[in-house]
Formats: sequence, structure tokens, C-alpha cells
Amino acid sequence: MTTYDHNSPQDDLLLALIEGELDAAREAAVLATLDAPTLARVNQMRRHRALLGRVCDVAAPPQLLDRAMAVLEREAVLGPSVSDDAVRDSFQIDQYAVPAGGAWQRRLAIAAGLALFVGGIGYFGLRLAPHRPVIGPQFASAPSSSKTSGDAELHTDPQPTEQLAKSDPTTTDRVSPPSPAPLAQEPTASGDTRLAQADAIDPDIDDSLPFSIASAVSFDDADPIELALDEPRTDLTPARTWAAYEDLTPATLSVFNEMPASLDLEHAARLAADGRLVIRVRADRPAIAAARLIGQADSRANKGRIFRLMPCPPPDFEEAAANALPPARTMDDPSGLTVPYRTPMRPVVETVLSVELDPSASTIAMVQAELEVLSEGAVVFDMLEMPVTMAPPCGEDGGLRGWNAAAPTSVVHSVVVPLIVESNE
Amino acid sequence: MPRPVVQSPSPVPSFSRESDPLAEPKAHPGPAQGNNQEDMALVAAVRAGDARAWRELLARYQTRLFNVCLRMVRNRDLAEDMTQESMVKIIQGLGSYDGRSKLSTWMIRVTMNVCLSKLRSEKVRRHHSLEGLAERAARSAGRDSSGGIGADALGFSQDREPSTASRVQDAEEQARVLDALDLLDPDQKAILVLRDLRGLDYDQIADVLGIALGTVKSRISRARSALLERLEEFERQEKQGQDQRLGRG
Repeated sequence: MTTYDHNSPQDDLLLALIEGELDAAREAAVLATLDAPTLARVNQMRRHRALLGRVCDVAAPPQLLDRAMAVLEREAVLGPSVSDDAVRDSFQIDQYAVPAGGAWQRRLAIAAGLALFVGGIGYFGLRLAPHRPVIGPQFASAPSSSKTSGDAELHTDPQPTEQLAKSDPTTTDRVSPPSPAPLAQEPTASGDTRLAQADAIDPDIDDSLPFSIASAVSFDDADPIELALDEPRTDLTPARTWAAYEDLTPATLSVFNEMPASLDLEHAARLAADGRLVIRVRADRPAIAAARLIGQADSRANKGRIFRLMPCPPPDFEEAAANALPPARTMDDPSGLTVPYRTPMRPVVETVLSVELDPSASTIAMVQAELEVLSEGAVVFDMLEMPVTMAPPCGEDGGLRGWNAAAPTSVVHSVVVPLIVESNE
Repeated sequence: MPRPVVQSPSPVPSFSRESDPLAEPKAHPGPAQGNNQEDMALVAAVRAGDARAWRELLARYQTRLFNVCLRMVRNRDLAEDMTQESMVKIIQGLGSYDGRSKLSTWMIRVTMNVCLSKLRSEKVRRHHSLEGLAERAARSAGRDSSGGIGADALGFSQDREPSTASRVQDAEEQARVLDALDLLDPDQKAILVLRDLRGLDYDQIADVLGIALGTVKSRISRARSALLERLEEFERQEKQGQDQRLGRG
């Protein structure tokens, strides 16, 4: 009979018979030796084998390969991930294995949980509590005269200003007028100089600004854009900077700056990588130029390019695009401020598009050459005062799509740059 | 003019393979049908870091791997997930492929390990047992309840034009055999899938499952016996059901 791991010779013979591995003569000879029940079983098994052998193959789903490739590429980039099953298995707890503790154990566990909960809330509450910036003048006046706010109290040096002045032999005979910066930089009793410095910078930041602007302004100290591109626009008068017009984004206002001289390509590439480049196309016939560019912002036309022209503007420029036409040439702003985009001198913005490109000088040169041909106008690279919010690239139909919609191998390091079509008037 | 139906001299009539035009020719060729030299070139490219070779290598075998998974779990969605997992493991494990066995055999081994580990989990096993019971019950009632995955989608070679009663009967019997196969122990199911459905020879099966040649034969014998017992059990249940219906009537 059958042993556990190996067939008997008789079983091997039957198996060969079932699987059709015997020649005809041998098969007939073996069949002749079988009794009726065994013969019936053998025939049934042969039939089952034949039936199973005729089951058709099913085509693999078309998306299967793409899914597997996406997983492979993701894991190649991010490292092997723990599968869901592994995570689930690692957290499986045998409910019957939990020792039945007494009531005091449960109470202790509840108390410990509560303590952790309260501690956690306290910790995160302190960390996430809104931090009101301390305004400079309050700082300056706090030690000598009035303590008007709790914040000032917190950051006030308990040592009087006169004592501080006397401690410095070079300033013993004069008392400096209170000013925000020096006082803020002086060490406090708690030694918290950095906090005071951080609170004292940029006193002109308006809390009422939209979040996007506020976040763009209040970068961390180590922000690479601030460090790498500390390039103020010297050609702009203060009245034309964004701070004067709280209801407009800096991106929108930058549209209405005068057309400057074009930046060189290397500079433009660096700005593009930091989100501070804007491409301005100034054409004699802006409507025609805009129509041509929009007509080229489709997948078929983009196939042959190393950049991608898209019909929707980056988010920061949506307002500029919305207000592009028709032009309003009157000064009717109720606030009384000079509103550059409504002055007769403003350039007439025809439309705002997006260009997705690799931020390199060679690519930007090709972009410039092709845009000049398409628009029959001048293409100028200009610098934005503030980095624009990086736009998710939109599809050729104008709808937004995610950055990582395609497989990782097809994702290139690209940025989205606003493209403004203006009148040459 | 209608073409006359030619009956096969075989005890089992031939089933139509034309219902699935993408199906690979399966005259029990086994996994060795791929060009091994091309495979090795692709393996070398993958090892050299050529990501495009991943796709080409997987594209060559995806249908075969998918069908192994589909026969093991008999659920299209699960089979897709398992095939995907297998593909990932194959590419990630190509460094450990030593070339002693054919690449196709090694790939099926990886895939079968994925399937067996899934099937051995209690949840999957229970799910499919229940699903199989529901499917059988529905089929006996004359409808398909496989959640939108009809017999054709699972690769049952049912004729779309049942020209003879025998063909319909054979198709039903084939479906019943697949039902019984689904209820076998995972190891028994694996060995019959490899042998009868994928057409591997004993050596390849031994390589895929990592067992000795003699063990392969004994397991096949036991799996065939178990399959026969399941089918006999089905017949008994059907007979009891018929008797009960007649008794009520």
C-alpha cells in the first residue's frame, strides 16, 4: 500500500497508467490485471486529469503589470515596505492568552492610560498652542516703562535697563533710546535670546494676510530659498510691492510690473528651481499669441517637446488670469490706494498659462525659442518677489492631476512656471 | 450551411480554447516554453539595474503566473493581488536565482510559495470554502453566483454554443472537478494545479515545491484520491438533495 512519502511500485504503476505514461501494450497489460472497482477509479481519475488539462488559461489583467511595476519602483526608491499582512500579523493578539487580571490591575491600567492621555494633551497643547509674535516696540518699552502684555512680561529681562547699561563700561554715561532690535538681542535672565530674536523679526508681517502669503513670508531661518536667493527687486518702488495691497497676492501683483530686461538663462534656471521665475510673453497681437499658445497646450503638441505647455495658470496666478480681460483703465479703487493694475499704464494681460519644465538653462533656452516662434513676440524671464505656490500640473483638459499619477520612472524633476501673455502696448 | 460537429474519439470531448484568444497554447508544455537564453539576458539586464528589463521579463510570464494564482485561489481579485506580490518578489529575489533550474520554474516556485502562504492562512481558506459552497449551491440552482466572475472569466472551457448535450455535461463535470479541487488541502491542490493544469513534469514539480521526486508521485496519487473522494461526496450530497425534494413532493 501507499507509504507516506513514497508510492509502492503498484501505486507508481497505477499513477503512470492514469497519467498516460505507459505505452499501449503495457497499458493493456496493466488494465487486464485490475479488478473492476480499481479499473473504475482509474478511469475516473484519467477523466479528471483530462478535464483539468482542458481548462483554458485566462489573460492577465492589463493593469496588472503596471501595478507591479509601480510597487517595484516605489520600493526601489523608498526601500522595501512592510506588507499589510506582516503588519497585521505582528499586531495579532491572542485574546485567550491575555491573563485574567484582577480588578486592581484593570484600574491601574486605566489610570496609567489616563495619565498618558493627560500628559500627551498637555505636551501637545503646549507645543501646538498658537504663538503670538511679540511686536518689537512692546519689547523696547517693556523694561523701562510699561508692561502692557503678558508676552512682554515673559520675555522681559528682570534686570532693569539702567543696570544693563551700567554693566557695559562703554555705555555707562549714556542711555540709549529703546529700540526693538538691540533689546531683543540682549540675553534675558533665562538666556532665551533666540526666542526673542525670532519674535522680533519682521514686525510688519500682517496676520490678516492669506495663509499662502503669510507662509511665504515667514520662512524658517534655514529656508534654502531665503538663503540662496536673497535678491530684492531694487527696480520696484515700495508703493508697488505686494505689502501695500493686502488683497492681492504678490504673484498677482508681479504680473503688473513693468516689463524688465530679461534675466540670463542660468539665473532663470536657478529661479525656476526655487519657484521664483515667471515667463512673460509680450506680443503686438496678444490675443492671437494667447490663442496660439492655448492651442499648443495639448498632449499631441506637447509630445515633441521637452517641456509641457498647460492651459491653466498656477494657483497664485488664478486671480491674475481671472482679471486678465477686459482691461479696466480707471482708478476707482475705494481704498484710495494707487492700484497699479487699474492704471492706464498697466500692461494688458491677455492670459496666464503654465509651463512644466526641467529647471535647466538649456531647457529654458529651448522654451524661449519656441515661445518666441509661437507667440511672435518677445519672451522675457522675470523674477517673482516671492516664490509661487508650486502648482500641481494640470492636464491638457485643464483639470488638475497629481504629481505622482504616472509611474515613478516617468517622473522627471520638473517645475511649473507661470507664463503670462501681455500686450506690447 | 452548418458545419457538422465532429465528435472526438477521446472519452473526453475536446473543449473549445477559442473563447480566450489570449490564452497561451497549453499542450502541457510546462514553464520551459520560454526562451531560456532570452530569459537569462533579461535577468542579467535586471541585475545590472535596467528597470525596463523588469517590465519585459514580467510581461513574458504574467499570464502564466496569473493563471497559477487564479487556479490556486479561484478568485480573480485575490489572484491579481497574489500575482502582483509574486512579481515583486521575483524581481527583488532575482539576485538569489542561481540558474540551476529554469527561470520559468523558479518564477512559478516563487508564485506558488506566495499562493500557499496565503491559502494556509485561516481567513482565506474559510473565505473560499464558503465561496465555493455558495458557488456550488448557486450552480445547482442553475445560476452563477461567483460575484460577476462567470465561468468563462475563470477559464472554464464551457462552450458558448452547446451543440450537444454531452458537451454541456462535460463542461458541468469540469466545473464540478474544479469545485472539488478547490476544497482540497493547499498542498494537494498545488500539486494537481502544477501537474494537470500547468502541465509540469515530475522534476519541475519537485523543483517548484522543493520536495523529492518520490514524494511528488506519492502526493499526486493522494491528491487524485482526495479529489475523487470529494467528487463522490458531491454526488452523495446531490443524491440526498434529490431524495429530499422527491420526498417532499
